[in-house]
Amino acid sequence: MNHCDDALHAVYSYLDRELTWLQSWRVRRHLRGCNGCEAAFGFEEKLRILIRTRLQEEVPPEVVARLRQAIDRERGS
Amino acid sequence: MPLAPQLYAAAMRLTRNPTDAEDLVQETLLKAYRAYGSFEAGTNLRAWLYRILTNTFINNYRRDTRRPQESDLGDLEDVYLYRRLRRETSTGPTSSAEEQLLDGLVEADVKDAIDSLPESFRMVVLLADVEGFSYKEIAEILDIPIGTVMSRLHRGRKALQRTLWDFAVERGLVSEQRRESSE
Repeated sequence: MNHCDDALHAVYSYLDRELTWLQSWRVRRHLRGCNGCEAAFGFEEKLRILIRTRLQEEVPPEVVARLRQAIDRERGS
Repeated sequence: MPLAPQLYAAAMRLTRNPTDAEDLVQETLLKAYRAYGSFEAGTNLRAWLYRILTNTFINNYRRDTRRPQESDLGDLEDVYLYRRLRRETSTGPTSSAEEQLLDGLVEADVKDAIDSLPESFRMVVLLADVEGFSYKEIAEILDIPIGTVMSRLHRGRKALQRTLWDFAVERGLVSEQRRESSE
């Protein structure tokens, strides 16, 4: 993988760990020699963590208790 | 029911309403309990439960009327947000400009941006980026080909980044001077 466009096109599959070992190795080799792409990949990774963090939801214990009761009622019926 | 809290959090993200989320999870768990005989031991229980959850959501809770359509997504470049940030700065994005942008995007921005996606794209992005499912698992959960998962995920993420960029501009996370230089 010699071109930045190819590397950047693979950014999601790479971060998703969906590339083969060889494909990942080619991406890593490109990143080692290309500061621009390395920075872009780093940014994508940070953005993904941000999205996951911002979308966390509180799960109230009383909701979990009610769900458990619903299943228990089904078991008993 | 070790997965009930996870399912409830996922249901909240899908419905954005605590009452609907609780109803959706209750229905999901009851369906799963009744269908447990059809669950094949050794296969992925978590994916199986999410499949029931998403099917139930699609059939009973989806609010599709005001959602944007696939054609609204456009054809955006890879690493969209990073490229926009780079273009707005002459020296390339500094780590402080990156931090200012990322730290400034609050919970409501990310939730609204996710909600602005067409439904089939929103679900794929949530399953991958928040729930952490693989492409193959998402294909099984939504009963679509892996190629469709990948294309929706790639286009959905880029569209999400475009909306986040718009929010960042609106909220002044990108300075006035940088914005003018791009126009």
